[in-house]
Amino acid sequence: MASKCQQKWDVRNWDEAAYKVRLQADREESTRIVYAARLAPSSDFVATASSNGSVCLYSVASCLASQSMDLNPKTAQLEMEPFLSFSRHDGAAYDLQFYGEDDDAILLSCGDDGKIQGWHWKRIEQGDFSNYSDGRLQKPDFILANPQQKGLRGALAPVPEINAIATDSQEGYVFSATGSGHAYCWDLEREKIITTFEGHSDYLHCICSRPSQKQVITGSEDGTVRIWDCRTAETIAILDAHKAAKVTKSPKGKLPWVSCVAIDSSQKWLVCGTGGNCLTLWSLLSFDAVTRICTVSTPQAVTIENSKIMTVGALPYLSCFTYNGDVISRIRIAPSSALSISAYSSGVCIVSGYGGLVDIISEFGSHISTFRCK
Amino acid sequence: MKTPYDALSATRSTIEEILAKILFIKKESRNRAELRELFTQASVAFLNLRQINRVILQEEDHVKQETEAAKLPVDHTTLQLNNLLYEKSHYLKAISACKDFKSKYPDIELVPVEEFYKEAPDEFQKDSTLRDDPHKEMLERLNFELYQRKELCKQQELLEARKKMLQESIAARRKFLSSLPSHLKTLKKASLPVQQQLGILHTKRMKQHHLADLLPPPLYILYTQLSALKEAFNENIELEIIGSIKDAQALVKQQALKESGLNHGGNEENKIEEEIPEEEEELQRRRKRVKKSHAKESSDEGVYHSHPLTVVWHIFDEVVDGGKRTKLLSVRFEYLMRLNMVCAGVEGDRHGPLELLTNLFPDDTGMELPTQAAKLSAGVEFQYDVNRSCHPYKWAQHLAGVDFLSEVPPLVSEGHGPSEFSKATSIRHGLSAYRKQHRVQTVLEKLRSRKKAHLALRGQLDTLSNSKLPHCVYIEVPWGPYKSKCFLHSWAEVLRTGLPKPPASLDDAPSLNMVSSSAEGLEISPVNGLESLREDGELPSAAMMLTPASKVPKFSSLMQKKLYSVKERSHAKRVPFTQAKEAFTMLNNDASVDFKDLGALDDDDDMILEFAGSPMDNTNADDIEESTNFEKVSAWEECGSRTFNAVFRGEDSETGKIIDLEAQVKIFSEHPVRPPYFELRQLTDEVTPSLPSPPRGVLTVTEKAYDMPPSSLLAFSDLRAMEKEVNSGIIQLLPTSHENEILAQQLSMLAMLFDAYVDSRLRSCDQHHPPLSVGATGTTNVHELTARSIRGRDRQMQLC
Repeated sequence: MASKCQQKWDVRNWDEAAYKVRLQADREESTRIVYAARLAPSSDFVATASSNGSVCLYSVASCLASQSMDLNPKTAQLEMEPFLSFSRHDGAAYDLQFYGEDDDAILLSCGDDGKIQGWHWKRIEQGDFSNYSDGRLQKPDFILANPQQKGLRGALAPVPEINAIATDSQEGYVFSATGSGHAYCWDLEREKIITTFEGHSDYLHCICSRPSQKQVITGSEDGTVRIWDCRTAETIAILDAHKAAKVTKSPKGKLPWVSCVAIDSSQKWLVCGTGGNCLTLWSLLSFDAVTRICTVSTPQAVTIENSKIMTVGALPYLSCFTYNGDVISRIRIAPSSALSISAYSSGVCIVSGYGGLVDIISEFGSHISTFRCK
Repeated sequence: MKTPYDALSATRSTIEEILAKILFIKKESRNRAELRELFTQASVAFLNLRQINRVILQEEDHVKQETEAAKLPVDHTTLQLNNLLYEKSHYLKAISACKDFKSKYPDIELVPVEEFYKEAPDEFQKDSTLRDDPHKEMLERLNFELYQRKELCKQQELLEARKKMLQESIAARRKFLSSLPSHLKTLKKASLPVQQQLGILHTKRMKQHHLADLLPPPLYILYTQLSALKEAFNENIELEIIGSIKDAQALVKQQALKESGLNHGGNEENKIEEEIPEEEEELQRRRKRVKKSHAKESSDEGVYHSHPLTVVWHIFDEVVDGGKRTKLLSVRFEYLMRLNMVCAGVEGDRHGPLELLTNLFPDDTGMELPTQAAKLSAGVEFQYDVNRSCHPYKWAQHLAGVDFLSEVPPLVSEGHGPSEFSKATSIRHGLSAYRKQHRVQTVLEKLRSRKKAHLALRGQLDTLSNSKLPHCVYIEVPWGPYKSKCFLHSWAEVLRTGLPKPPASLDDAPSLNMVSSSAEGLEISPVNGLESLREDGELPSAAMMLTPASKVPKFSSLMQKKLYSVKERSHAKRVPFTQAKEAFTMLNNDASVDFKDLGALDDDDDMILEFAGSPMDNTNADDIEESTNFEKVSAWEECGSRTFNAVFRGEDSETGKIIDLEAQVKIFSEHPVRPPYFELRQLTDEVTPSLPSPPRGVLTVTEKAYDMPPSSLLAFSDLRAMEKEVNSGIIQLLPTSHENEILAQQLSMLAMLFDAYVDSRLRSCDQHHPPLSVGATGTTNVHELTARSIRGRDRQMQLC
């Protein structure tokens, strides 16, 4: 960072304005948050969505190559230039997902500007960078824009952000959890909203789809988790994640927000994390709470992989639990507060969060690669 | 006709015949009668003869007369002839004389013809006859030349006269001059008090310029460039050379002797010495003082041996108010001869020179020797003594032109070798680059703004030390008119004894202590949660070592060995480490907030991890934590920084609950270019809200055996969001002209943010949050009119 170009900065040809710009850029970089980091279908790349609105691809291979060069832990904080950047969201980019398999995959990103941008992975893989300029891809292949709600006297409310997206590639659906408290089901073919899920009394933090039952699960700032039927847009169940109880309507009084929801691969278990420092595990067969785990910090992202509940929160640790709530492991991770975790069947998991840090962790808890996004 | 002579000869012959006949008759005596006849005949013949004779005579006379008459014209003509002949000879003589006449003209160096035609008046040039007649031409040329020469003569006379006049005046002036020095001396002496009074230190400056000759080249360049700046731009700066002249001269002499064996500069020095005596007494006093201060430093004389002369640069404020200049600071430059480098220090300010000059430009702490050559000559082990008042900043080297002077020996000799020329050119190039780069102006600007920023900062810190928020002049910012509900509860500097060390030398255990004893709000937490957490953080890596999948089983024996030694070391370190931590009052159980200062100490722990983990695990826990939470700041940026601890206290108006926000404020030496860096923590924690009891049948498990960190009102992300605003968001909002009050602005911004976040979080805790989908629910209550206050994955406040 500073040491790289210090040659430039001395009394000879001093340029104070440029120096200030650089300091500012450094500071901004240090406060960057990577909201989501996911492995691309071809596994060679990690896609990230970060607080400055950028959606980038990082080459894992080059991370590994540069990582092994420097064994000094003090300087091992690798800074990676993105392999490819996509057009920026206005405001932060909150989530990204890959839709579909292999060649037909689509990279979807969403953000504070209330838009979902989609890129066909095939084009990226084939190196079709026809609208590539200024270091980034200029136009997404399609944009799905959030509808604006009408408020008092017909005035349009501010564009609600999209905090999370989930996919159902069998049906061709994309679900978005928005700041207006609505969740939407988009038909990707027609690029149209086909279902609107409304009922939450505050904005949505997270969403996940349960394709086998045609259900969508949303977690909201109002402290509840709702399970929806995709076909009817009806609420099937309302869960109070904090009290670990099933309720019939949104409870009065403020509950800690639901920050994350996840289901396991068998689609029988649901785990959700709340701002009240706990994770609750639910059986989706009966919508009953099974386990409540009091966590050290606020869980901010959770996933279930291989019958392990993996969660990250406002502490630099990745915790793994069994369904009974026993701790399997606690792994120190790079970001001091992580906002995203994605686990893969190979055992690799990627966490990302504050400081623009992305940490790729192996099955055994060793850090395959840690880098700071540039 | 018969001529008389014929008649005479005929008569005489007749007489002779008659007489011959008489004689004959007489002789024969014959007839005398015939004799008579004969006699008569004879007498007649005689008569005849007489007559003829007369005629002849007459004739003769006549001829004579005639001749006489003819003689006169002859004589006249002869005379005339003679005259003419004479005349002729005279003419001939004259001609020959004329012919023999020698003209002077071939000797005269005439102007060539061409030139004549060029310069002569038009009448000559137009006159074509002139060209045909060389004689006339010559004449004209001569005339013209004569004319010209006469003119020149006149001119010469004039000039001569002037010359004479000038010579006279010169003589007069010389006379005056010869008496002037004594006049001047008296004047100088007389003017000294006046100069002192008026502050025009002319005499002093002359002396200074004189002294400048004795400066070593780097200081000389520095001096000349600075004084050039002063004179060219009329900058409000002063320069002064301080030190012992004698020592300097001795040094020059020594150098000269060393260089050539001949004392080149002898004359010059003598001259200098002549002028010194009067200044000597004054210097004597000064030198004593200098020597005293030098005595302390002379212990390390070898490396720190400095040139006896130093340059002091007084910098005044640009704005002159009422004729009085406010002095900002004085910078002293000294030259270390052995290391060939220039050191700079703030004059008179012995305890804080580092702060002011350090990192004037990025990565310029003054702790390291700036040039490779200096490093070599000082040796590998050498560490610059941080307690010296002057430090070898890079900008000082650049200011002194050491970067292009480096090949030149410390003192430029008087020699004129062939290499001397190339050196001179290289210096010339260097100097021209030097000027083009505006080095002096840049440094001056930087120093001025730095000093002003410092003064402003000091004012702000003074206010803060009374636990008051400093006043902000610029209020065109969102928080400008805002009256904060929270107040500054305490403000204290976190002192570090000794000066910051380079990161490599961790051998002396740094002790951290807190100055403020009045900070009753700060509690020393008895349980060192941080450490326990940290150790916990090591667990996975330690466990990893045992897993068969660990990629480096071969290293295990080596690792064990190393671990042993490291452990030993770390035990030795642990004591000061924990002490320091305990002294560091901001500790609590929130392990995610670590402080940079501790980060430096954590090296021990790092080392354990370094050896314990697999190579992949190199990005060990502490390191990662450090670099995520804080701006990545390497050692040089830290140098000269000060850390303060501020506590904001807010109160919940309804419940009377007190919420403390602690801000660790790091003010960098580059302030305000690099704005103060805030690290936030919520200090007073609420009692951990117990989770509501779940319905029967739900298994409740708590993650950890040890105490959980109590949840705080402000989440981690809230604090980070506030940090982000305060640390980086503010830079765009604050204009450069008000840069100096950035700390005050940051604090008042923080106060506003704190209020806003506390309000928002309290409200979201205690009250029912308004439903957002107004249209959808159809119900209207008061809350619906309020806008959404939080948004996004990390629940960021919506700030307008």
